[in-house]
Amino acid sequence: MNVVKASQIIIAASSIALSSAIFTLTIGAYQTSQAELSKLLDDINNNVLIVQRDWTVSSQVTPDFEREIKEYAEQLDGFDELALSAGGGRSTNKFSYYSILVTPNFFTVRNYPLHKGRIFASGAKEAVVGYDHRDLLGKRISVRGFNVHVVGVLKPLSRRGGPDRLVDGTVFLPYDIRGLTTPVEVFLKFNDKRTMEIAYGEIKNWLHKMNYPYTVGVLAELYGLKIRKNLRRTLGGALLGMSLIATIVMLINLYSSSFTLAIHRIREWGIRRALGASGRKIKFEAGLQNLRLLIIGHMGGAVLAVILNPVFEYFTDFKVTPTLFAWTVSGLLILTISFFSISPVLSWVGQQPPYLAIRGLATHIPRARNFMALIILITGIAALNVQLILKNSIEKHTEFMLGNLANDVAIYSSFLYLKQQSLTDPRGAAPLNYSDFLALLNSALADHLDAVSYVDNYYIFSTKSFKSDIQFFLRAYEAKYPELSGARIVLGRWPAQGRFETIVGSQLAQRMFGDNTSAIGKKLKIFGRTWTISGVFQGASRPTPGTAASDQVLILREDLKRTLPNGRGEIIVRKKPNVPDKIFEEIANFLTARHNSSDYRPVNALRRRDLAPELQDVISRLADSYSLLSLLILVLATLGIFTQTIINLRFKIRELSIRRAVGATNTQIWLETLIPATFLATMFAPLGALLGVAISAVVIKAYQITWNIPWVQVALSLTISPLIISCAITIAFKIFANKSIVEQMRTE
Amino acid sequence: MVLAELKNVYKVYRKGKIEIPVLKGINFKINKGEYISITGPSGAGKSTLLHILGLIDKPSQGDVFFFGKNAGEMYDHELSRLRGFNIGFVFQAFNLIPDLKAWQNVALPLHYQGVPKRKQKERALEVLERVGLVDRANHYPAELSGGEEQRVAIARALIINPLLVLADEPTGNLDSLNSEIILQLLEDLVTQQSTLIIVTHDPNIASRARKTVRLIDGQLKDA
Repeated sequence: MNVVKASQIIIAASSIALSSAIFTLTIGAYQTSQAELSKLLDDINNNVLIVQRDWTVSSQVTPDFEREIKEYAEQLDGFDELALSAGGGRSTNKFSYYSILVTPNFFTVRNYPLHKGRIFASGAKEAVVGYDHRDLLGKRISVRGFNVHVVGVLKPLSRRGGPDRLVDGTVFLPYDIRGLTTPVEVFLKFNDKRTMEIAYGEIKNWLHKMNYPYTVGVLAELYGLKIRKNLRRTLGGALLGMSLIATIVMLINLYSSSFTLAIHRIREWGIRRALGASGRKIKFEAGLQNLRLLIIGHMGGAVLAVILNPVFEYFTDFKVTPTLFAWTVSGLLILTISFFSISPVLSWVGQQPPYLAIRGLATHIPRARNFMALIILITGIAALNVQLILKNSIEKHTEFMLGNLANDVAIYSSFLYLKQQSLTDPRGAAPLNYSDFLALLNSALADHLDAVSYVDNYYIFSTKSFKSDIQFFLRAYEAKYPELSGARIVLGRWPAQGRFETIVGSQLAQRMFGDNTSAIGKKLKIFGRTWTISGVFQGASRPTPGTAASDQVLILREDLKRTLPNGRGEIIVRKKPNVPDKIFEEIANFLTARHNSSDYRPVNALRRRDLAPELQDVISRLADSYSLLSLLILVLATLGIFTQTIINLRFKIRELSIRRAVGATNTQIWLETLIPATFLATMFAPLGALLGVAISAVVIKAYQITWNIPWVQVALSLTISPLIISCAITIAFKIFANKSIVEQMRTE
Repeated sequence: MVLAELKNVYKVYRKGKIEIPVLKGINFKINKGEYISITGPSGAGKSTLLHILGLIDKPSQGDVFFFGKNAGEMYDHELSRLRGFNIGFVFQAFNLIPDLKAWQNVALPLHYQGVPKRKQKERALEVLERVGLVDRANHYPAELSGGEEQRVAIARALIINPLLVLADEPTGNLDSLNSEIILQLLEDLVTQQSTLIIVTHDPNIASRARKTVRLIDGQLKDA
């Protein structure tokens, strides 16, 4: 039957092609990400320690610090050179850009290459500018009161991210241009990573011993290197796991197809054997047939990988360039693995006695293919569930990281928020205050809002009530804040007005009092007044604008009865249902207009997705990768189930024709086939779901994501297998039922 | 009374672009209670004619009437019902389902009539007794001899008390002793109310029928 034979070849080849494409893309993705990571490590000096001023500590810095750290660093093993930076700020004249004072060797230590010109000389009235200011080269400019000559332009560097994000718009001035200054950052370059790591601990101890208000860190980590590594590890693992699942499905499809094709040729092989061909020769011929199929499939995989590449990149924003190396390796892998699915078929072919084969008969027909159809089904459901569970768990984890901030909420912050591991730079950010909040409430925009709140944020360096010197963030909020912030009460209640109560984050409560329960009723001394802890809340696991983090303290702003000068305001709004998102932009424009100055950046609405961009990046890429892969696996699994169904019907076609001859209608036969198969599919689907849960559990544990199973979606996924099976049977039936009974009876 | 009628029936097989005419304008009436043998050389279209008569194949042109109704105008489920209640087939290759026991094979037409399982078994055992195989009721086809398999096939054809029994070379795969047993069975068991049509190329078997027609070059001729 040519249609069946052709469909077997097509299904097997397309399964190989899909699997090969996924493998090629996986290896390609790994190569690309490794190359990106290596390039980043080359771009940023990987052997540099950064000693930063700790603004949360109020100790004074003696003028000797610069000299002492130089002397200390010079006696450390592997120390190479030291660069300094200080006094970052924004110009208040017509050039509204960020400027920083740096030593000339800062550019080599930070690996900031020149685009044009040269580096300034120490103490000279000269400047080097970022790439965005390249037009200033050769000109004289006035920056922060200094009239300087622009002698150099840096190459574009902002794309490196992290602390280099603002470099392209920065003006660099000589460190000593204004005489004696205190360093904000000291960069210590070492000969290699090992000596840098040893020096890290020594410098940390030294800073502590000398009581200098500085912290030490590894410069590379400011680039979110750990997160980037984790992202690649996670994505790599996700891709590899899915590739393996896809390969299992491919192997089963290949087994079924090669088996069916073997049956098609059994009479021919019987004749060949009768004419003198040995069993080994026949096995070789069967192997050759499969090898051709593998080669065609793998070549198709290369085409598919090229087609899928932009699709994959579009959905996941993850570069997965399919290289020749990736294609070759995936080909070798598939060829090797395929041996396991083809060899039982070859062995079966070799075992068939010529006297039976010549009549188109076989000693036995392995029934393993039905079992394999179920494995395909379970695998497909498992892949779908891995995707569902991980997507939900990651979403839950985002909530944990960012607080349960709703999607219809926007935050307008005084802070220029960058990244967790970058410096937060409030300069140039519009100083939102309580009058902005009142103005918004009194504007027509408020009609579109469901709730509005205001928070003043303060750093508290220590309080007498704490066991040890703990720094924390205090938020003085307006009434609606609890419902907008996404913070959740875990113990006690929100503060009541006029009673000078406070609520603390669970993380802080545990640090201060050992556990949440002990915190309730305890007193805190804040701004000279005693506050009683009325409750403990669970908020975001890290501080971001708008959201209450679990290491913060909240009080009612009305109880504070004043606005302190160092407070920075945040306005949080929730739009009414059905009001378009445009309202957030209109509010941003309204607030920007109230602080319309070239010194300030425009006020932007921060939404849930804008918080912790690198985390969102990991999440969306991971989730999208899994979605795309699980879709591909489902396609493979569906193809496999169609193959199995066609094979099963193909073997039963004669029987079906007999049944029809004795009076069975097509519908009766269809139902007789459909009901048990659908029943089996329904029974086995939960196994797939369980497998999916198990795989997800491993991934979730490995990446420490918050566990969350979307039960409804998992339950819905169980309906997919009976649906696929019934579709497969129905379509296969349509192929065979259209043939006359006589034609069916003639089928061998 | 006319049971079935073929009017100007043509059957053409297509092999790629080549057309092979098998039946060329057959006109044939079958009355109730007739015993007809159809003979002819190999490839003359005997089996094709039988298949068209049994409503398991369709003519390329012309009409087939069963009880005066045009089969070409019937839906597939109507044809299945007509076969299931009125026509019994006996094939040269027996065509038993290997996964079913002898009694289950015999009971198959009743299964599709919707007869309860218990009744199916009762009736199947009755018919198996008539063909002398009641003691082999629980055996699978692979455990039976060729003659026994064909007796099971006859039992399956007769279980519905068919108006028309169509036997396509029923002894083609059997030795002479078994052939005689099978023919005797068919002739004995097909009642006066039933019509028996046997396709054969054996003149001895053909001569046992009350009426013999020859199919030569796609056309019927009285022998």
